[in-house]
Amino acid sequence: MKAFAPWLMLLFIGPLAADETDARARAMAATCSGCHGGVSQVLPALARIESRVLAQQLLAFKSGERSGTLMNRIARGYTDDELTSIADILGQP
Amino acid sequence: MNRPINTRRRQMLKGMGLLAASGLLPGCVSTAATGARVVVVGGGFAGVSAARALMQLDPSLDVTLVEPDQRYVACPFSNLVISGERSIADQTFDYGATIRSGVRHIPLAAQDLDPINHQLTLVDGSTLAYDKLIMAPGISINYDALPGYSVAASQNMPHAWQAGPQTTLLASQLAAMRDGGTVVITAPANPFRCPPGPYERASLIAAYLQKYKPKSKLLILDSKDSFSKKSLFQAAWKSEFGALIEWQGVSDGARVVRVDADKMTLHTDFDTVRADVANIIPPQQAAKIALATGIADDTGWCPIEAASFASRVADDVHVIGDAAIANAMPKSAFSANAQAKLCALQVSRALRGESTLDSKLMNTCYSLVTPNYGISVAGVYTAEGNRWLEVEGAGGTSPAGASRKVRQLEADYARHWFSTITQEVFG
Repeated sequence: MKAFAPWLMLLFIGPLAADETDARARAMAATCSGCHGGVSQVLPALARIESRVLAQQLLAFKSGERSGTLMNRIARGYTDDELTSIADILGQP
Repeated sequence: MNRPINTRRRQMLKGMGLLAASGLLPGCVSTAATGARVVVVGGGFAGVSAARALMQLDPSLDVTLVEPDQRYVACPFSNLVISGERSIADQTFDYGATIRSGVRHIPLAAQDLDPINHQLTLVDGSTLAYDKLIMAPGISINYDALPGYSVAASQNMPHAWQAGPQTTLLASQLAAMRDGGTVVITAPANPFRCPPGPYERASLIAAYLQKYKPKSKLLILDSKDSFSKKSLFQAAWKSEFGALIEWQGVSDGARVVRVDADKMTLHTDFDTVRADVANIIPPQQAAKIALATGIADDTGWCPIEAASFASRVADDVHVIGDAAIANAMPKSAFSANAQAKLCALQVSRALRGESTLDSKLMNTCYSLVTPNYGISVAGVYTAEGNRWLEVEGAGGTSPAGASRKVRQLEADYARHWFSTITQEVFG
């Protein structure tokens, strides 16, 4: 249950990852809350978005298919697998 | 700071720490995962983020925040206080929520460190034992590096680079200045806290002057030739303020080598400039506690192993935020918060006997040229050995020639970022 966490540092809650890949995804996703934490009227509240949709959007920012002010520059820093795993952590199943 | 002694001390600390870690010295503590004692020094974005992340990662931890002040005055957005558009109260946060989350706050300054015995001494002489120590002490002003500048001189020529009374002092000097006056801002060589900060400040002061004191001038004397978002700032200065802002770099002879706070003069290699308001953004180094304990090296900053933020000087000590040498990562509140969360995770993993996780970090720095004109720089970073390196092909600044709408959006996002991050850290 990660719906509408008031702040995304709550990402850390839960069994600490026997799985390194999952732990790594959680660590990377934790930085997103710098802008996307909280309940926002200005930026998308990521926890309300389906992971599958979120992954598509992140990949579209990376490829340039979708243009944003800043997200293209951020998304290009991650591999496709990393973006998908971050979306899995942040979004709704 | 006495460098030779500190260098010797550092070598001693590291070696002795290894002995302690292997249990060869009396007084060393066990590092059981549950109930381990973590002490965090510094109540800014880095320290508070780390303390609270630790409590979330492992509520059984005994987390103590060592911070002498009861309130924290945030630097990001404090340039709007200087230009009269924001109150210092809006920049001020307390530790109530942090304490309610289970962190113990000790309102005293740290004075000394005994990494061999895993002990921190506070100013009242009391000691705190720790299993892991996270140092997030921020910066100190390096008065020695600028002849003529001192705590006393900063009353005439404020730095306003640690938010609080210095910020409101500069704001009141600006408000009192006559129309037609000259504001001089000096910018230091790298590295320093908030690389785009001097230029955002110049922009917002220019916006204020243009509105209220249009005959005035703003001169930036810079100790370097290049700076964060330079071409974006310079294009915006021209379009928004005409010739109000004049910037001179080190190649123009603008390096300030001495100031005289009584005469209100600034001396460069070739020239003397008289200011009506002088904002000295001085050379900086890690906070005094990092210098005094030898956690900082001869550069004045704290060397770390990148991924874990482990000090390269003392065992079981980690350094995050502005005081740490994080290479490509700028000294920003965003970086501090991101580093803190990763460091907390690494510390909790280490306490459970788990290995250091390889991860990426990011940073975003928004700057306001005017309250309706925002620009940004972003980066994604990977840890390689002792260095945080920028991921190539990612990051960078807002585009040149973007529309008014985009600039307005980035200004809105900047405000949103500040409210989000301060809510996460202090709320």
